[in-house]
Amino acid sequence: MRIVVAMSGGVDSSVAAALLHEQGHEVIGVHMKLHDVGEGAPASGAGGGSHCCGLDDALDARRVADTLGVPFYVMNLRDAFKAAVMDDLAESYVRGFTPNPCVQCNGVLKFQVLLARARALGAEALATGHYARTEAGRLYMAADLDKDQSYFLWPVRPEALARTRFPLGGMTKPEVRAHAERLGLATAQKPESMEVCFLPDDDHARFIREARPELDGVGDIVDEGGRVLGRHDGYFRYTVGQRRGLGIAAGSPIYVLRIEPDTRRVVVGPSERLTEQGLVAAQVSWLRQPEPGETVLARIRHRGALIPCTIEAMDPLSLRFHAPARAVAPGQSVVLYAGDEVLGGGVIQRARAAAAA
Amino acid sequence: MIYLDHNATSPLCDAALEAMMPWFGIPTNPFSAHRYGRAAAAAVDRARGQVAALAGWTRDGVYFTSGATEANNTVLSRGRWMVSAVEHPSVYVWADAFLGVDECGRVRLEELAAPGALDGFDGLSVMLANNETGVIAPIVEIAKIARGAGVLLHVDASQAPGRIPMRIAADFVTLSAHKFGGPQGMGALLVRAGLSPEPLLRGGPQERGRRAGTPNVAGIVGMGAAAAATFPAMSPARRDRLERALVAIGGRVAGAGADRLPNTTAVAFDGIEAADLVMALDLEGVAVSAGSACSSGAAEPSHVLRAMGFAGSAVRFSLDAGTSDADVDEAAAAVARVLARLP
Repeated sequence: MRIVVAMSGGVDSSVAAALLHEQGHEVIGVHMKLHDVGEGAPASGAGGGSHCCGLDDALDARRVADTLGVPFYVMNLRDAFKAAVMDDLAESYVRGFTPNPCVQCNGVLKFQVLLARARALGAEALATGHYARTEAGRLYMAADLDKDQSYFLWPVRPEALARTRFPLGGMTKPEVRAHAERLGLATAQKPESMEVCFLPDDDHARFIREARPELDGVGDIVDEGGRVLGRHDGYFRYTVGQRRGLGIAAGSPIYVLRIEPDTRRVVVGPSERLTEQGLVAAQVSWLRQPEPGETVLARIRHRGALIPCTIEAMDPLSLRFHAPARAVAPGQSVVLYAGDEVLGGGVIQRARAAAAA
Repeated sequence: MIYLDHNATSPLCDAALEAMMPWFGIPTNPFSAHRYGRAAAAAVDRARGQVAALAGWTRDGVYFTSGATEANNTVLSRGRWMVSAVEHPSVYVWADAFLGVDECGRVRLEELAAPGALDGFDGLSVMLANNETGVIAPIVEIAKIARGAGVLLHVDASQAPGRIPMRIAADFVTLSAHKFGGPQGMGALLVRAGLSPEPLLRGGPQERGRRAGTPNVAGIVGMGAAAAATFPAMSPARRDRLERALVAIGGRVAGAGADRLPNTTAVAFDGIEAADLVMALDLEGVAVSAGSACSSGAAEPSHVLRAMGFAGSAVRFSLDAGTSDADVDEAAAAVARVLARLP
């Protein structure tokens, strides 16, 4: 079968490509060029020149493809990425949210745009190095629960999943590294990348400064009574539940409770004020739609605990936690599971007030 | 594999390969006084004459370089230059001002001829034939205007040899060996008698002090042999056959109304990214290209098409004299197959 493999230049997608190749599939490696580091496009005048992002990653991916002897292409998806991910990301920060850009990238870039381009290359399927499992259009957690990335895949459509392969879904990371060594892949020893791919050094502040300069301004850090406890230099730097980096000396630990973009205030308080009874989410997408009233498991951050809850409304999605949960951060994804199967998810809009529960 | 990307590079021709072989494995410094050196110097001089003959230039006005990029940089890196908006990057990076083109990719002569248009410039650079669209510039008229305005004229003729006649009334002309069957890493700057551009590479007497560094003798010999083996022109028959077939399945030709190289056609299909088509055609066994590539290999939007106001992205098919009817028929059929499975 002709399969396009999205090759980031990391060890996971390298092994995914190599294993499919070993199984006898006709593998085509594709590296997505999503953004630029620095500008300087043609026709910008004297001394210009094009700088590409992730050049080293593209080269690593190319080396692996050459080792396997498979075709390899770099696809320029900058415009699509900007429209689908970066604009949305900036907008999300404006609202005081804590976005998951990888979710958006998976939902639109990889499993819509790239999948369509893979079809254009005559491929029957698209494969990635995600740690997740899929079968007949359904999505499941990876066998290795420490590496599981199903949280980031909830917006993928069932039709897209039916054309998707996750060759690493049943493996542990050490097994993947062992395959990379065995197959002599150039990326075998490459360290894990933990940052968002287009924010070098995880420098969100720089991204916001460039995308939304008006946000890069000071505001107050206040307690729930409105008393000013300190100042901050941009509310986008804060996330609900955050404890460190507040720069406030208080007798007991204090946490970010919420962010108020209208007044640029960051509201803080003690740990017990972070517990919530439920949440409301929008942009809901289902892989297998549950019934209202059904009990499901919710995950509200990557690697977060699975929280038993009841679905009280479908659109917008309203959940009631069976036991209070800490730190519901607007902008993060809520992903619903039945056992290890992903049912769907949405973008958290707000915590549900305790009184309503 | 059907190779229709000759504007990117052409394979080394037999004549060049044969001429080059004896120059590997022996000492070849033409600046040595001994017999090896003398033999090398004679070979370089012979090649200089062959390249001069190709371009209708004087032998002593031919300076060998490491390629068209070096030749362009040598001329353009000094002084104030107006350059056409569709030049190769090795020219336009030096632009102090751009000369626009019309929707067919032809430089706007009326803009150039306007009184004072070239005031304050030392030179004007216009390519003879565009690498992406094949559009040919009216170089005789342009030369008249440049002369009248008292500015230098540089013509990048990299895409012309073997395709159209090469009689160019300019002060500087750039050539690239690997576009006409010579080796890569070889080019030439043709300089009108009496002119003497500042050298880019200094520290040696080579190329009469115009270009320091031990010459690439095998490369120079190969470039000379390829020049000698180059036909004076080429028939557009195969290109036209291909173009007709592509237009019949929805293709839109860039610069269709202009005088173009007989080997080149740049074709857009509405709603289709040219880069996608290039990849799909590679898998179908047809080698073509789209726009220019950045260092990661991803296709960048074409500044040439943008300057023409041409909507969309175009796939460039560039043939050589050896391309057959069967080749272009299969290429067109492959395009049709790929289009059929696109959404």
